[in-house]
Amino acid sequence: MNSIPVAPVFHGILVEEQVQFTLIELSRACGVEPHRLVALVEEGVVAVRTTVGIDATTKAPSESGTTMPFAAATSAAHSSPPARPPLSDADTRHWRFDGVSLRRARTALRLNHDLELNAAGVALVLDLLERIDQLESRLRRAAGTPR
Amino acid sequence: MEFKDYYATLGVAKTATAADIKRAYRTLARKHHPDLNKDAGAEARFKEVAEAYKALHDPEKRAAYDDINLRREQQRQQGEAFTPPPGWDSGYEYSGRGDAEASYAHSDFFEALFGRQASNGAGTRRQRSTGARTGDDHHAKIQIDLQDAYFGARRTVSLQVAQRDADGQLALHTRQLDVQIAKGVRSGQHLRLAGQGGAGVSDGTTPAVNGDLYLEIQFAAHPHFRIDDRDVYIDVPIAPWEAALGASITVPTPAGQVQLTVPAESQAGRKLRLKGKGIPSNPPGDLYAVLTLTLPPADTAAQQGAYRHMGEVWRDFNPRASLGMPMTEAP
Repeated sequence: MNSIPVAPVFHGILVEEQVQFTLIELSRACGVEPHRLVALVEEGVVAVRTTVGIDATTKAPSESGTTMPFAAATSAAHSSPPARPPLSDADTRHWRFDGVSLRRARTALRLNHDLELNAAGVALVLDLLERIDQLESRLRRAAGTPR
Repeated sequence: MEFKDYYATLGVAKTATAADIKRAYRTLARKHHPDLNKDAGAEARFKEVAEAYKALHDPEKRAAYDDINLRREQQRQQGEAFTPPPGWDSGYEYSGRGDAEASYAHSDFFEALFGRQASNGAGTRRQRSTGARTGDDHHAKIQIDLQDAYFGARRTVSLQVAQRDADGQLALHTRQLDVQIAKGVRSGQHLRLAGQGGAGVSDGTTPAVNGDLYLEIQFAAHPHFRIDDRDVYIDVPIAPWEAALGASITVPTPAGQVQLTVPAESQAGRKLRLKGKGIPSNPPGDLYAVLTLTLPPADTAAQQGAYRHMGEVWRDFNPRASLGMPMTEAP
């Protein structure tokens, strides 16, 4: 009997709306070592959305759902004695990134590698690209835009 | 196999210094990088430039390439076609495609010359020789039509994956995957398919964990619709009397035709919003009909007469009043 195997259909998860990354997960998705992403966070290229469970025993529910810049994330970690050096695994383990960080981080890593830009240069380019996006979006909304 | 003239790609002479090569690469990379240049051909052009730089900026690779180049020129003088030296395509080693830094596949020519390992970011990702290892995450792009975002779509994705065959050699195989794309997706978003990335390695006790596959959604360009995140825009040409008197007109949307009421005294550029008729995300976007005025031709005597009549009726109308220009006499 010849039965034709029915190929499964994959549905997938919409990253931008349904995914939060840990540092390790985002590193794996970007195909780089975590320290590369830590450098991007330090430069403000990629934002840590929130930190969860500063201590293994303590949850930080008040912080969930708010964008947390890196400085705030580390100072929160430092507020509990004994003071840890910044960017230890213990700190970064609690980082969570929005799904939209994937695109931003991958673009940043490409620019860093392909154009040999440092983190500050990458940050500037990303900001300018965002500005171009906004201007192009304004064009799209106007009548008679060439396509 | 097509010979690649890497010097020509970078626009430098064969005698160029390392500094010349770097400068040429940087200039061309800034110009053609797909993150900076959205033109259709930019990515392909950048890949060529990046490959040429990779071959020429490393002194050892450049020396090897120059050797081949010389050999080719000698062959050409003798009227022979270019043939690669023996042993070119041996010793491949494949080091995964998950690295964002090595997201550009290189040409057969490059891989034959330098091996496939060289074309990937070797050394930039973890190399663990023993123990369990989660597979790499892979990335691919998938192009869909705007209509697919309205109704959902099923797409077959072809992926190139490296697999180790019976004698331990790594070879590229094409794998096909049926993917259901939910309605409401937008350009630039990613779908994550768990476990569909690179194969993991088991340590014998725990099962191997595969990497994930990320598919980036891109909309194919549409001749009428412009997309701004979840909103959709379409220019709708109307006749002067439709603009002046108002009209009920039929306009296309990605979800089919709809009736649209043009209010009387609409000027060109007026946006009419069809709430919720944009991309059906949560919340759904809106569809905007942007009115443009189209003048009917004045070919026949009757048509010219009609325009002339308009000029007589609007004798006091000064279209350039906003520029401070005086009325001009009708011809």
